[in-house]
Amino acid sequence: MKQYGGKQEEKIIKAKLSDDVKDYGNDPFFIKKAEQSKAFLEKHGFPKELVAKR
Amino acid sequence: MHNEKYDCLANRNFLNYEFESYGPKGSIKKVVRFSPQNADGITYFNLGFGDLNTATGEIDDLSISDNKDKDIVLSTIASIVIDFTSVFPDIMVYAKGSTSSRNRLYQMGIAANLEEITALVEVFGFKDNTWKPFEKNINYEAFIVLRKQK
Repeated sequence: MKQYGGKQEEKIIKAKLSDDVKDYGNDPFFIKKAEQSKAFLEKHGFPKELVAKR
Repeated sequence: MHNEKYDCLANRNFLNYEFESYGPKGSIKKVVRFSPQNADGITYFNLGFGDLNTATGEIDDLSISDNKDKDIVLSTIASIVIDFTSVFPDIMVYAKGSTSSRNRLYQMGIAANLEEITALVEVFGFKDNTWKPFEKNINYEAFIVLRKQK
């Protein structure tokens, strides 16, 4: 596998763990998206097929 | 799946992934965030994706970077989802683009990599007020995936 920043050709990548990756949990954009998803799913529900398979 | 992908990094809780897009516009850092959330008593992850604005440190998912590497970026996101669901196989991942064009982009990413994605995860799309198994050439409003259970 090539270094971070390059391209690699394994079919499924495995991410390298790094302490340099920030936690974006407090980013306003991601907070807003998560809240929107909750509203959508509380209105429309989840696929029953997937709920049953968890 | 598209063979070419960018290497990516994840932090130790696997909720945050980063990779860099390379093209005519230079290097653009991309972030994928899986936000734990709960709806109707069911825990799931919301997939958020955007460009990191290095000036503000915030994420912008409305930017159109036009770095001529759309297929590589989409394939990388698909691989990240597969990687992530190997860590959290029992929890659904929900994704919905901020705009209809971004949603179509997600759809293209799933469709282009469908064979390898569906070998490992089940994919549903939301259309006409119902969830249905993902099919190519249908415009969905949102997507949910779950790792196939062994």
